[in-house]
Amino acid sequence: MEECVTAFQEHLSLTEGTTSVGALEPNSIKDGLYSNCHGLSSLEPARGPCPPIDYVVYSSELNMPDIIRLIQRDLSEPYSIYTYRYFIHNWPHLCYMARVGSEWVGAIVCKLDYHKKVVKRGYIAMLAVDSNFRKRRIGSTLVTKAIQAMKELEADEIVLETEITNKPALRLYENLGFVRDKRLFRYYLNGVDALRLKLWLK
Amino acid sequence: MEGPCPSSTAQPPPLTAPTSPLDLSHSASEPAPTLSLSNGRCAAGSGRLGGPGPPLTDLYQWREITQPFLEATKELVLGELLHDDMFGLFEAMSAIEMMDPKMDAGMLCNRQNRKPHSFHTAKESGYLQLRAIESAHQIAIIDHTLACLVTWLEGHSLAQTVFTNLYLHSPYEIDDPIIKASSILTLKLIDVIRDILSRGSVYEEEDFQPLVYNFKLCEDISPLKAGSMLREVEDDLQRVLRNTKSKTDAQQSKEHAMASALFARIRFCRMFYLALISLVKQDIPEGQRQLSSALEQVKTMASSTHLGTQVDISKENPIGFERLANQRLLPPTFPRYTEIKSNEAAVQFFQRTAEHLLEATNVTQLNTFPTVLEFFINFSAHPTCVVSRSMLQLLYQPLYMMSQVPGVTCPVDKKNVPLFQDLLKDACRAFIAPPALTSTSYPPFNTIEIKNSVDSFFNQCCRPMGLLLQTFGHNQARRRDKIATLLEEFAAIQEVSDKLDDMLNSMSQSGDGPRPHMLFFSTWLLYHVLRLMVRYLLSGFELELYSTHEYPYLYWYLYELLFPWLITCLHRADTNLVEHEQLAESLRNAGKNKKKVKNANKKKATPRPYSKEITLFQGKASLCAGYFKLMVALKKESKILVPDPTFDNEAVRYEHRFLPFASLFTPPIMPYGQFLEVHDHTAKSPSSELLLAASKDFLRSRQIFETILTSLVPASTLNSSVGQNLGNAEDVASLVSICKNNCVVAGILSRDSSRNVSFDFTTNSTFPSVKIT
Repeated sequence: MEECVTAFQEHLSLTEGTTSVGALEPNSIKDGLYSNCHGLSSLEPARGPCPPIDYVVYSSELNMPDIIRLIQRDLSEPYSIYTYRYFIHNWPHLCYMARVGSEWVGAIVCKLDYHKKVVKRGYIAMLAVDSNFRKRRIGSTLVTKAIQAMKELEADEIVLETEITNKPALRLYENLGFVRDKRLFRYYLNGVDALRLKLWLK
Repeated sequence: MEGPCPSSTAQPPPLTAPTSPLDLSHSASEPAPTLSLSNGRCAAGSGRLGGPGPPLTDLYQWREITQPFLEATKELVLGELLHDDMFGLFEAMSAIEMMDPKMDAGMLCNRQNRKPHSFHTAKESGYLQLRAIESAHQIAIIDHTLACLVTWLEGHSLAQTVFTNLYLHSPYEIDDPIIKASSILTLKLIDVIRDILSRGSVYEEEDFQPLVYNFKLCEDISPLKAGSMLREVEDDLQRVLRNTKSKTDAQQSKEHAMASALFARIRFCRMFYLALISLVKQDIPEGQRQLSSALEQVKTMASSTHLGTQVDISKENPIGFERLANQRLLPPTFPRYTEIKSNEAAVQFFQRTAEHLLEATNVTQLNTFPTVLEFFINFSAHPTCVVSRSMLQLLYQPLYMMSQVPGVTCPVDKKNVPLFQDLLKDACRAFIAPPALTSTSYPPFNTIEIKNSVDSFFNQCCRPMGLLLQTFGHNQARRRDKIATLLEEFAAIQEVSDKLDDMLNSMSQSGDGPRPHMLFFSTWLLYHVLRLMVRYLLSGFELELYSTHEYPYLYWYLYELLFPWLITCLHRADTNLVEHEQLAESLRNAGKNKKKVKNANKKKATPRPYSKEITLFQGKASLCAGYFKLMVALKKESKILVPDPTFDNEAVRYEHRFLPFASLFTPPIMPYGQFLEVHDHTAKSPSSELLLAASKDFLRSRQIFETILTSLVPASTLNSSVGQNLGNAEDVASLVSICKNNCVVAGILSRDSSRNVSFDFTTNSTFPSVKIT
């Protein structure tokens, strides 16, 4: 499994310009204070009436086309269907989707496995939110649900990689307590560095 | 955790005979089964390279199985997968969906609508010129090859860089002497660079890809012969230069310019290559001469890149470059193209590399371990390419010889190279003058037993100290992780030194003779350990790894523990050196006129050896104390982004951030509770008071730095390092300016705490300037 994660990371480094967590638009999260010391969110709500958002866990292969559609939009090089199936068929309970009405607007794909035989490590492989539905905390909610599920399964830590230039993703995760564990030089073959973000649960 | 795997393996329908589509051993007349499954993995990229075999249509009987396949899949329920055990994540990532244009590199629309040239097709069709190549093309070929080399040295594969030059696929078939000679040299240059990097052992996959894809690198041509081939070409060009001196004849001028451009390039390549060969053989003066000679050509090269034929290598071009020539050698999921550096940038890269190599040779002048360590540290501070980093590891012979596997020939003259353990003994003696090293003819230090224990200790020190030097050869991001592992090595040797110190201490308490042995060996090790710990924490700032809400515990650890311990270490060393010197002095003066001796001593008040370094640490401690108070105040005023507490736990985070320090016994790790205590106590004071106190800390550190500023050397005179961790003049000057800034800003904030702040690392990548936004 260890080699697989490394290989996956290598693959991500090979797909130029890919963010492992799907590129969020630069203005998806309001600049400045996301939460002050008292944990209150000062995020500006989206304009207009806010339709209810449903969050569901992956149920069947019928969800697959929408997941792929959502994730693929932000990637320059595509993942094959097998990559999606590797994560989602092995860890369907760690794949969450967001729905507005009949439209699927967000998805997160994770895995949870032993790292070096000792540490139970959760890995956020993909995250994407439809560009028309930004600024509604969908991304944060999906991540929170996934972490909660992994925490309940006794994960010790959660990791992911993202480009050092992906400021919206960095803000989203750092607000949840992720810190930058390692800098990965030239992780992406176009020369861009990545950061490994980590949240320690224990 | 093994979650329930919903992809069950369905029972395959019965087969008449299992056949792997790739198994060529079965005869073609065997009937194909109704459904053919491959056993195990389908090996991607196992297509045959080289000459064509019989067409595949002749090897097999093809049957269409669409209908049987669709029938068979009806047996599967929604979401059920036919899944071979060996098809894991790696296979999933490498697989492609055939005829998906985004993934299938073999589709015509992805191949520029033409088949990529190989050497043979290019030669047959006349696309590749092999004789009488015009000068403009020659310049372009060389420039573009150099650009490809640089791109390779920035972490890309040879297949997508240098080997896109078709001339390199079969250099002996080239007639044109310039291109033939430079092609052979390019291949040999690749070979020597691979050798240097592999022996240096300081590169990672992001730095360098060594794979040669079975290309021949002209091993049958010796370095001397390759050099002389180029020399001949140089001589021919010089003849042309002599014959085209006329300034009035336009044709001659043009020829002259071309010949001049080519000459510079050929000479540069020859000298650069020979320099690498010389340095690997440890012939330093020759290597230096050749590097200087290479550097002389750079200016002409840079000013003549426009004389080469301008091409777009993504299309067919007259200079023999084929971007997709080697695509079949690469896994299908590799990105299709690598962006090659510009010719101008490539010249700059080679210039910098040659300069850094020249600088690296200065290490051979240094005789003591501390000066060598400082050299390695300073060398690693500016971004150097992987070639010079690796070369430095080879040039410092005591280290290199230690890392050699016995029996393998290393091209080094062993006779005059000091043993690493002896250098370490000298360093320890110079650091703190332990009587076990200085007074080995006096009891109790003159026993064989003691001498053996001391020798054994220093032999064991070779590993951590050798790894310490090697650590500074890695790229900065990897270096931080290496330090974490290195601290474990030091923890192990610290146990040895503790026992040794105890033993020597108890043996030397009794009796007269030289000074008793105190914690000398441990202090020497501790000095290095503490410096590594400081470097580990500070490199996190340089690599942009810390969130602002983490600054309080980081700065606290530095000013409360690490810098004070370092200062204590050096004081102890200081004191012992002075004592040792005084004792030696009194032994020398025994019997002399005591009054004369007293007066003489008064006149020469020797400065304490570590006063400057201690001062530098005091300045940094005060600086960090200032940051700490500033951060506590800013947090109180809610000016610092704090994470949502649902999952974040500062105690857990703290423990993990400082985990590399946990393996050490000395210094003991400071638990989170201690930090919290200090933090909460500090936070009791009103913010304005804290900010004022921070301002004073910044002022004090500025004053401290200013006292040593005048005695520091500029960064450019690195090789005159005195073997002390002093930093260079520019570095300390930038700290002074940061202190000035922060002092003022903290003062402003103390009067008006509603302002927002940001942290600016442009002046100094380790210590930020606080800016009011």
